Amino acid sequence: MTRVITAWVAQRVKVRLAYRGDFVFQALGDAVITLVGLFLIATIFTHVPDVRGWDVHELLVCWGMAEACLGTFWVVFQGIYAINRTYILGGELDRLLLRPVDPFVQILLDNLHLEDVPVIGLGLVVLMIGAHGAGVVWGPAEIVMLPVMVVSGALVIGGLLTAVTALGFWVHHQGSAIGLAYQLTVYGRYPLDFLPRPLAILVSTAMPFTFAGFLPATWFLDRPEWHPYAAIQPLVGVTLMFAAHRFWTWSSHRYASTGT
Amino acid sequence: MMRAQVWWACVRLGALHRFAYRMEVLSAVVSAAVVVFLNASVWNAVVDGRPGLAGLSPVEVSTYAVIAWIATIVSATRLDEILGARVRDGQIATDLIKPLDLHLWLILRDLGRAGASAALTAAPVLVLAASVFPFVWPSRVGSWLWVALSMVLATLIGGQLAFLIGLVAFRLKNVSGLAHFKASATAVLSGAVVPVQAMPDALRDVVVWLPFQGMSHTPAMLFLEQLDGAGVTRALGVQAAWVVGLFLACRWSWARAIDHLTVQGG
Amino acid sequence: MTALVEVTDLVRTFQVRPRRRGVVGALRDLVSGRSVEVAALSGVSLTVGAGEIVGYIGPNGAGKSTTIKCVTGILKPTSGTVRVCGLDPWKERSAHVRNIGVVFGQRTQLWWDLAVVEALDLLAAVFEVPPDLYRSRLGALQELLDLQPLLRTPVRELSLGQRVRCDLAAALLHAPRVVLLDEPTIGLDVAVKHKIRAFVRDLAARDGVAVLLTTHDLGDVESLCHRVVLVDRGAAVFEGTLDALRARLGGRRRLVVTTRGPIPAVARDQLAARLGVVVGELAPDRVEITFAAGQSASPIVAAALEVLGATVDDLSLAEPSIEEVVAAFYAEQRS
Repeated sequence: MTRVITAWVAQRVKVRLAYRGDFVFQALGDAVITLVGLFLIATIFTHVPDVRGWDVHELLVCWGMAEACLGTFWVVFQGIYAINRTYILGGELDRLLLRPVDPFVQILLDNLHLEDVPVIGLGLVVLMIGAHGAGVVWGPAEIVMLPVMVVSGALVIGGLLTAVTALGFWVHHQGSAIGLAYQLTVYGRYPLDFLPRPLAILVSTAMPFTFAGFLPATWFLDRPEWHPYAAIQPLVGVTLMFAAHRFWTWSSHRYASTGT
Repeated sequence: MMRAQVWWACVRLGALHRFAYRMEVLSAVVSAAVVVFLNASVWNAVVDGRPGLAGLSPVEVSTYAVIAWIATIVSATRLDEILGARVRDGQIATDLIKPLDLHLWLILRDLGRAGASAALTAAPVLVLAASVFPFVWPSRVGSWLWVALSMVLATLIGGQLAFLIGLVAFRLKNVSGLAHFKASATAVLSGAVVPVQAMPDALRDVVVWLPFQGMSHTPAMLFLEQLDGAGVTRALGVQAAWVVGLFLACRWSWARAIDHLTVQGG
Repeated sequence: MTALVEVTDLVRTFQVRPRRRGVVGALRDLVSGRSVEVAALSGVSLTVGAGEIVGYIGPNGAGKSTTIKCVTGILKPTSGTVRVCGLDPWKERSAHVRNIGVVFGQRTQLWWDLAVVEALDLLAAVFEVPPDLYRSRLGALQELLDLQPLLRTPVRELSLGQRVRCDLAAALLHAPRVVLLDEPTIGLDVAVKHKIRAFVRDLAARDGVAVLLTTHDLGDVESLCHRVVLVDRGAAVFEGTLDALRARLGGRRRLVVTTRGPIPAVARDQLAARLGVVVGELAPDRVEITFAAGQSASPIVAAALEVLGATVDDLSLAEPSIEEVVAAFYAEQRS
C-alpha cells in the first residue's frame, strides 16, 4: 500500500510541475481569499480594542489555525469536488472500481492539489504572528499538537464533506450541496461566542467545523476553559473521517455508472 | 415586437435555469444564509455593548451587514465563467453566427437569473436573518421602490463587470483564477465585507470612485434610509451612470474581441 | 471445460426521473419529482469457459454494457448471480479485479496526463505485480502490440488505435484469467483491427484466457468467437455457435449464374418450377437463385447447367453473412 501511494504521489508531483503557470495562478487566487479575511480582522480592530473579550492576537491564532486546516483539506481532499460531476455522473468511477485499491483513496490521490501547500504555510505564519503577540510559550505539548491538530482539522472538514458527496449516490445533482457544506467552514474561524446560539450549536455538533479552527486554536491560548474540547479534537477528526468513509463506501453500492 | 418577445424569452430562460434542480434552489438559500449570517454575527459581536460604529447605530450595523451581503448575492454573477467557458470550448463560434447580440443576451439572461435569485434566495434569507439578528425595516413604502430600482441597477453593474472579465478569456486561457480574484475583490470593494463608512480612509477614498459600491453599499444605504431626497437621486444617478459607462465599455470591448476572434480565427 | 464466468438470471434496473416542460413544469418537478424504474437487464444467463471467446452482441441499448459492468463488478446486480473465477465481483472486489482485465473501446483506463510507460508502472504498483515479472510481461506485450514507440507519449496524445493497444497492455499486466472487451475495435482502421483480433485469438488459444467480447463489428464475431450470445431488450435471445445461429434462422444461400448473352424468361421460369426456388433477374445475362441454408448446392448447380446449357459463363455461391443473419434474427424477434 505504501508503495502504491508513494508511486501515485510521485506521478502527481511530476504532472503538476509540468504546468507551472497554472500552479502560480491558482496559489495567487487562493491567497486573495485569505487576504480578504485578514482585511476584515484588521479593519475591525482599527475601530475596537476587542470583540467580546477576544483581542486581535487571539483572533489571528484562530484564523491561522483555520487556514492551515483548510489548506491541508484543499491539498488532500480536492478530489471530493470532482466526485459528483466527474466520477458519479460522468461515470469515471468505472475505471477506479477495476483496481484493487479503495476507490475513494484513488479519487483523492488522482486529485491531490499541491498548489494549496502555500495556503497551509500562510495559515501557520498568521498563527505564529498571533501566537507571538498573545505571548504563547512553545512547549512540547504545543509543538507536538500543532501538526496533529492541523491534520485532524482537515479530517473534520474532509470527513463531513465526504459524507455529503456520498449523498450523490442517492440523489442526482446534489453538486451544490457540497459547496454549501464547505461554506459552513468559515464559522470555524471565529470564537464560538461570536455566533448566535443556534449557529454555535450547529458548528460544534452536527457540522463541527469549530474543530477545524477555533477549538484547536484555544489549545495554544490562555483559555483553559476550552482546553478539554481542544484535547479531544484529534479523536473527533479521526472518528468523523472513519465513519464518513464507511458511509461513502456503503452508498457507492448504489452507483449506476453511465447509460447502458 | 418580435424582438421584445425574444428578449423576454431570454430573461425567462435565465430565471428558469435558476430553479431547474430542487437541491440547487435549496442549497442556494442555505449557502446564502451561511455567508449572510456569518457577516451579521461578526459585526454584531463587534458592536456588542458599544454605542455604534462609523456613524451607524448597532442595529443599523447589523442591518447593513445583512443587506449588503444579500445584495451581493443577487448582483454577483457567474457570467464571466459562463462566457469564459464558451470561449474555451469553442461554442463562441456558434454564438457569433446566431442572429442574437451575445452581450445583450447574456446580460438579460443574467437579469432573469437575478430576479429568480431575489425571489427564491434573497427573500427567504432576508426574512430569516431579520428574525435572528437585530434588524430595522424601511419605514416608508417609497424606500422599497428605491431599493428595488437600485437592485436592478446593481445587477446590471455586476453583470457587465463580469462580462468584461469574461472577455479577457479571449486573450487568456484560464479565466477561473481571474474570476476567483474578481469575486473576492467585489466582496471587499462593494462594502459587503466591511461597510464602506467603516473602511480605512485611504481605501474609502478609492472605493467611492469605483463601480463596485453600486453592487451592495448603495442598496444597503437606501434600505437603511440613510440618504435624503437629493442623496437618493444622486446615489441612483451614480449607479445609472456606471450602468451606461459599463455598457459602452462592453460594446467597445466586445467589438474588439470579435475582431480579434475573426482575424485570428479564435 | 470449466466456466470462468457464470452469469445466472441477471437483472439490473435503473431509476429514471422524467422531467416536465416549461416554468410550471420545472416548479412542479421541484415539488414532486417522481422516478420511474426501468429494467436494463431482465434475466440474462451466460457462461464463458477457459480459452473460450464468447461474442456478446445486440443493438444499442440492449443491455450489453450493463452486463459487462455487472461482470466487472462496477454495477451491483439488482438480482441474479455473477461468479467470475468463483468470486462474487461485487462482494470480493479486490480479489476479483486481480482476476480480470477490462478494455472499454470508448474510454481509456489510463491517466490522461501521464506518459504510457508511467501509467503502466503505476498500474503494476497498484496490482502489486512483482518488478521482475512486470518487466518480462511488459517486454512481451510491447513486442506483441508494437508499443515501443508509444511508451514515452502522454496518453492524451495517442490516436485511438494506439490508445486501445495501450489499454490492452494495461489490462493484461497482472495476467488476468478473464478478459472483458467492450467494443474494443470501435472506430479503428482495418490494419489495427486485424492486429487486435490476432492478439485476442492468441490470448485465448495460448494462455487459456476466457474472453467475453461485446461488439457492433460482426467481423470481430466472425473471426474470433466460438460462441455468440444475442441480447435484445435486456434478455438473451440466442446462445450457441455461429453455425447454429445460421441454421436456426434458415438464412438464405445464393447461387448467381452469369451467361453469355441474355437469358430467356422461359428458361428462368423453367428453373424455378423444377427446383421450387426463387429465381431473380439481376441483369439480362445474370440470375440469382436463392435457397435455404440447410440445402445442398449440388442439385441446384446441376439443374442450372442443364437448363441453361453451354451458355453458362460463371457460377458463384454466397453464404449468408453474419450481418444478414443477425438482422434477420432481430426482425423475427420484433415481429
